[in-house]
Amino acid sequence: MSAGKYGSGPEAFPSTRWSLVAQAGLEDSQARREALQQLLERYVPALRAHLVQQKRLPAEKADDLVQEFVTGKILEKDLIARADQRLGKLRTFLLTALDRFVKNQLRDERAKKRAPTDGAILSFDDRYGGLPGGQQPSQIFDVAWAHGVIGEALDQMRQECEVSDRLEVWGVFECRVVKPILEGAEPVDYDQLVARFGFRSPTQASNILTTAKRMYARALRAAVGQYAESQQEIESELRELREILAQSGTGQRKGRKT
Amino acid sequence: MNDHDAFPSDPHSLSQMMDLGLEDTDLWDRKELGAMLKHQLAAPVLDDLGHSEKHLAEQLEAADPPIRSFQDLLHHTHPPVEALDMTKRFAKACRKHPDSPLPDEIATVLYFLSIAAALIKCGRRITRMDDQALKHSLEWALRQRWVDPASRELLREGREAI
Repeated sequence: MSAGKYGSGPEAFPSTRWSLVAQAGLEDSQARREALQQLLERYVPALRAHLVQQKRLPAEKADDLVQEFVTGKILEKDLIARADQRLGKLRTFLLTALDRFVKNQLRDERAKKRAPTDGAILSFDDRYGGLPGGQQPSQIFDVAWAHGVIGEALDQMRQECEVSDRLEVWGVFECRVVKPILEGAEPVDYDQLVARFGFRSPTQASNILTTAKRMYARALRAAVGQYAESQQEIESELRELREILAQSGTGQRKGRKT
Repeated sequence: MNDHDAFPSDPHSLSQMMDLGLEDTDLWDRKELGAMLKHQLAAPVLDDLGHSEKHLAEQLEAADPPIRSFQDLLHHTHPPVEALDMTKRFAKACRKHPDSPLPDEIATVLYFLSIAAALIKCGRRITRMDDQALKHSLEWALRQRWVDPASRELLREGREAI
């Protein structure tokens, strides 16, 4: 797996919809483990954000618990394979499973210590108060998850451009769309774009930008397709993530033209 | 482990990135229209029209001086009227097609520039618009502040020739 600016992703851009989760159901335990590990690496920060920002656990404790959850529960005990009828809602399933796992872990720790109950542990289930901007309990997790989906899509798109020797497509998309949106940079204006990439006409420049946007849209669906089962579920998941992001409170700034 | 800190996590930015995958958005800012028209006029005619008429290359090469760009064509003293008519049809197709790579404003100005050039330089009317409608349309094009002076002059002459 190669590390990219926006994260890391699979070496090859999938030409058709495929599902790492479906691969996770394969009999080959090594292939299943690798597929799941690849998928989960992308979304570990969402699990971690949920425990730190929402459940108010110390960062180190959250890291340990997420690591134990991924390795012990998901990878070793095949939690996803045993719950395959729910794969369409993997995001929700993982969140619920993580909460249950953490609750049990903390309870076991208390029992082992034979100590009076610790406030931080006792209130694990009830620490939903005080979330920023009136966010719903799972919103921090979902926003971090969306971050993972977008990072995966950007990495896949960049890799596809590299593999197909179409770096100008990524270049235009990056300086016209990605950097302005994600880094607050000024979009490179039309004249500079033409000078930088040597476009012969507006038709050519527009075609490249249109191609880039379509490629990104496809990569976004492929990223969700790694854990959703059908086209319908992919579209549903994208709509849901979009609604979550729109409702997350800080999305009040005026958008920039892309 | 992934480099997840490489871009921000604010929901507003992420929402915009998510929208890109779900909705069509405008490709260009309106303030870029002047640069785009200039670039379109400097573009090789054959790049946009070459596929539609096999004799076009010969016609453009036979002109004196030879015609390379749309600007050469529109400002030529004796442009081939067929090439102007093809330019008009190309622009019209761009205006009508929902996935056209050319912004509607650029296609519309190119459309009326080709009509004005044919009217002035070839003495030919390549549109079925009546005088009033054509005059009204040329005046619309003249009101676009991003249109360059040479094109503006062509539109003005066209309006006066009606």
